[in-house]
Amino acid sequence: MIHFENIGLRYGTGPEVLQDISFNLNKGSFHFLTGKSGAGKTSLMNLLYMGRRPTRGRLTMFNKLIHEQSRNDLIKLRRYVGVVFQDFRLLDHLSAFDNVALPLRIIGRPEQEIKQQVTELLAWVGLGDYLKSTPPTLSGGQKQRIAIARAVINRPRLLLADEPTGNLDDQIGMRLMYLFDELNRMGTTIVVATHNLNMVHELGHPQLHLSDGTLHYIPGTNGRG
Amino acid sequence: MLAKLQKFWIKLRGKDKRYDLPLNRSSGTGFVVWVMSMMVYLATIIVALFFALSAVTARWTDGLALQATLEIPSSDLSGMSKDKQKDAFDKLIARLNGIDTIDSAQKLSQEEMDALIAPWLGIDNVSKEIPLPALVAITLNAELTDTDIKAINNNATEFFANASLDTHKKWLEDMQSLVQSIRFVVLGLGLIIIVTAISSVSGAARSRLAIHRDEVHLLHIMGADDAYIASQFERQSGHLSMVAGGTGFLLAIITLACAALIGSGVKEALLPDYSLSALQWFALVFVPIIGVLVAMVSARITVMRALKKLP
Repeated sequence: MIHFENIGLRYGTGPEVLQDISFNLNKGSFHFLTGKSGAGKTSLMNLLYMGRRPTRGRLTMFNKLIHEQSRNDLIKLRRYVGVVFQDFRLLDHLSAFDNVALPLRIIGRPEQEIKQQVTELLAWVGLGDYLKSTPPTLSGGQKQRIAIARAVINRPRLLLADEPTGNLDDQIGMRLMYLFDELNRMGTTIVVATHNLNMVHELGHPQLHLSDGTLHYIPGTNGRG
Repeated sequence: MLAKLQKFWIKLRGKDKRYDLPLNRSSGTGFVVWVMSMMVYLATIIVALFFALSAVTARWTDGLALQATLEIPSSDLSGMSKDKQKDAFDKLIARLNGIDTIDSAQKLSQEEMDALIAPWLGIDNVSKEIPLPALVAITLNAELTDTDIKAINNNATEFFANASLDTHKKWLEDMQSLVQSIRFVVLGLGLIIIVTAISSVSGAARSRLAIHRDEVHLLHIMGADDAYIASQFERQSGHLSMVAGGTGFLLAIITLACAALIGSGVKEALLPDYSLSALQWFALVFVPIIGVLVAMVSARITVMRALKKLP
């Protein structure tokens, strides 16, 4: 589904922050993206959600060669990807409902369908009573769940999460990971960037480990990778 | 057509007042409303001025094109007794009324002469104290040719040696040329207003785009295309310019009504009738509507152009 082949990325005329990255992500797989700060995790995530094009190499996303796609085509491809950011990036002026509804409104779904889907999903993540609440009035955990709901409302083929447990205590963090696991069992391909090695070992999914801009594949221990 | 209008109205209004981007919270919104309302105010006044000038020109043209005045200088009358003058005028009038292109010819009475000069010299019978020419008002049924003018002048000089015919042509041409120049100035001012309005809206859209860069990036990541994002700016620009347009238009109407009220007191004497027709008043309504459309289109084009430059 996603194929990286000798991918390199540099910003402007600076040095390459990613070098010769090659890996495949199959449909329904679950990977952790690990590595120290500055190793290139955010840059790799950026490539995965097509926020940037690679400087070199062949990147295939959903069977489309990225360098052959126009800007508008890339925008449409992004609709297959859900992203959960470390800092949530919720829109503070919108209610929880409207934040989650955003991806559906972008693709022009009817309001009635949006209302039904968003209400159901927010109830599923335990925020059925907070539809009209705005992010500044919610706790970190609640914001995180809204961010996840927003990322998955459009049933993305690929779900990316950047340090999703970074702002949460361990117990809530693990519950969140089980939620991702559940989505993965439903067929969503998942990549979670994290520093939390305890969680990585506990769940046992394979790792894409970045070190100084290069990638090392570490097989999983749960037999699903 | 109705469905299109309905769709446009829904687009302008939005299903609700929600924007995906916090555009209503952007600073500078009040300034844009103020600038736009001033633009609509000035544009409305200028369009009204343009209409008034057109009305004045039309009235002058219609009123004077089939009018002519025969002027007999006071020097021709000074050596003649009242009876002789009357006899000469009666014969001249009869002769003139016999000419095909003339509908009627009539000597202006003393009262009519007094009324003509009253705005400048008052109503204290000054016409009797100063030497004034005698005037014969001629109403025509067709525009005069050079031959007609020559015939009238020949007839007139038989009775009054220095009589001369004024067809108002030269004066009319001068006035029309002046009005045309004023029209160009008015059009130029209108253009400046439109360009200023477009620049203000574009500048405001660009600055809001810069302020909300992160949110715009987020929408792009979620798969929003440029048109979707631009439509948010377009709609907000429409809202702001509707408020601004309404305010500016209302102020302009009040100003015009005041001007009409003040003008009605003096126009009989000094000013030509410049009142607008019902259709022209109705046409003024389109100024704020055009303002709203210009603001929406400017915002959309500005944002689309800026977004296209993003990676």
